[in-house]
Amino acid sequence: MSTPAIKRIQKELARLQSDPLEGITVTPAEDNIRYLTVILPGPKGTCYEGGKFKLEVFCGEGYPMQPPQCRFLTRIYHPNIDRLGRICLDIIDQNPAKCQWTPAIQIGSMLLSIQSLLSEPNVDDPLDERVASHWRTDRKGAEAEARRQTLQHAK
Amino acid sequence: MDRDSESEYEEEVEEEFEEESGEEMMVDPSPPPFVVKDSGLDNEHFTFINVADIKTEIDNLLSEYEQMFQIPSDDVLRILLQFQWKRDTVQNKWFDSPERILFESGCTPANPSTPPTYPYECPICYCSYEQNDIVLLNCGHGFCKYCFTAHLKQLLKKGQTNPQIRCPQEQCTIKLPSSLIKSFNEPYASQYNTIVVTDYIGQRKNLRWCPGANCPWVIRRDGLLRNVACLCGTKFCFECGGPPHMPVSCELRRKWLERIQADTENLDWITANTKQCPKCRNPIEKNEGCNHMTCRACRHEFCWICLGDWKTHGSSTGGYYSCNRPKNVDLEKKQMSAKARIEYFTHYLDRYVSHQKSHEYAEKQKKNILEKQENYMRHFNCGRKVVEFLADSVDLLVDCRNALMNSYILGFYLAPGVKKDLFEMQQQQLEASTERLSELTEKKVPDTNRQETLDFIGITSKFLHSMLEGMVDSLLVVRTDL
Ligand SMILES: [Zn+2]
Ligand SMILES: [Zn+2]
Ligand SMILES: [Zn+2]
Ligand SMILES: [Zn+2]
Repeated sequence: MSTPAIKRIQKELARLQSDPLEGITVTPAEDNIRYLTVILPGPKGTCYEGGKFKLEVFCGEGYPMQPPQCRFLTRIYHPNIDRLGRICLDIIDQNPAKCQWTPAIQIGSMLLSIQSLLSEPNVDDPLDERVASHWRTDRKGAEAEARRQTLQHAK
Repeated sequence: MDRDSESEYEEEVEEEFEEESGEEMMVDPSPPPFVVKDSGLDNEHFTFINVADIKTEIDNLLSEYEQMFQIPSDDVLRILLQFQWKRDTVQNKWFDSPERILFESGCTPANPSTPPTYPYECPICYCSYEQNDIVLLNCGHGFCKYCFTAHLKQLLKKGQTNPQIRCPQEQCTIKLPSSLIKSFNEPYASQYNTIVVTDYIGQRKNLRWCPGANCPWVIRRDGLLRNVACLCGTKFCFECGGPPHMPVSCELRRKWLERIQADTENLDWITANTKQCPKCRNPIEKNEGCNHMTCRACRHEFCWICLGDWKTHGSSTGGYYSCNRPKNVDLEKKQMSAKARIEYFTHYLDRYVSHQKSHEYAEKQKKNILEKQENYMRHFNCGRKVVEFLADSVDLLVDCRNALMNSYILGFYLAPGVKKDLFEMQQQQLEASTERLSELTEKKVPDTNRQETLDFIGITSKFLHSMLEGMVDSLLVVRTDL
């Protein structure tokens, strides 16, 4: 079925092919174009550098009027990402009242926002309070732990 | 009331002024403000406005600035929304720099826009359209009208409460003009109007929706009183929206409720329904609201709360004995001992709980009042007009019990001083008068004394008003050793 949403996803993917984002790969599932697998490199100069993080992105029925659902499949030590890989980021917040998503945001720019969340953790709006308090009280130690887990899980 | 709420009060007074100066925007609601039967609360301090009148108020404000600034109404609305409808801020900012305030409010884009070429590709559905299918904003961002409508619909469906809706383009600072939103089919226009009106009411310190279910009234506060009795029958606190609780402030009440929640042990003992007659030790059960008790065995009359002789209570004796003041505690001491602190707390808790129970009882009386009125009419063979006093008396009783209950919270926190002395005098007068009124309302129909009840309605309502109004605008000092 070729709905407007499918058409948009196709075009977005075509553009990501012809004009790729540095280091980021986006691959649709063979049997379902709404389901994408993403490899996101950890930003340079951060405790995630060198890591390759796998994410799943699902553009549901509401897409693009509603944001896609995103989840880290690779374990990551980050105050805004929990153990299940769920991400706390305003543009893709699943709570409609808090969500800053607009339908003109593209999958590519959404992925860039997630990447910059890795560079700048937001300890004031944490998803994992334990990790966030580690970050607040001992930033160096928290970053060392993140580096260790990156080497362990995201190589 | 502590220091914080003091400064809040000062702020409020300033607010009032601000609104005063903008008189022309306050349209006199028509039909004229309703006058509700005085139930012991002060509706003359509140005006009941319907939403249509708020809408007119907003429209007048918009056209006033439209003329003053010579800009379209869409821009005025965006500016007012951005600066929380604050006239001073808006005017100052405008006179500082019209360009800047227009940018900050999302009326003008950061960079001049380039007109699009057609056919134009919608950045949402990635399809190409000719000009008449594109909604073009002044930032240069265009969207096909199908996507744009779907987006608006999605926002409103998920319960958008913020009337500032951004241009869908990422990073764009433009806010959608209301005329554009309203140019789409219903229900968008009326939904958007409601969002704007709700925002306006939320930002005005002197306006509030009635919290009653499906109640259409908006209440404007014209003074400093907080107890509102809405036309729909809902009674509530203007500031916190909870049950009315004058004379105590919302904050002190919240503190108190937390405190007694943590102290259930004390509550168990106080809420006992049985006490011993202080004279003959005969157990006495209390199952009515009035605290004037008579022992069945020895006919001794005493006060349920303090177990003191009733003869020493009430206005008839000139109130030389005050049941409402803690005894055995040196109140003037800056720092109470641990034992005194417990005694002090128990004193107030005891009275708070007593009035709370009497309040519940009065509510029950109120529920059954129609039946009592029927009985009265049958027994005295009189008309409906004559029995109104029965309903009036229990209505007032409910309000008095509620006020007394809350007055013991305030009493607990008030630091000693002239203010507290005055307050306790008013409290004591109201308490004595309320007990008498309570007694009168609990009489069986044949024993009911209509004239005396009417007299006590008059006196008690006067005492209620002076206690509530006496504590409203004063700067209160709170004990710090509790
Ligand atoms: Zn479109
Ligand atoms: Zn724009
Ligand atoms: Zn109401
Ligand atoms: Zn309140």
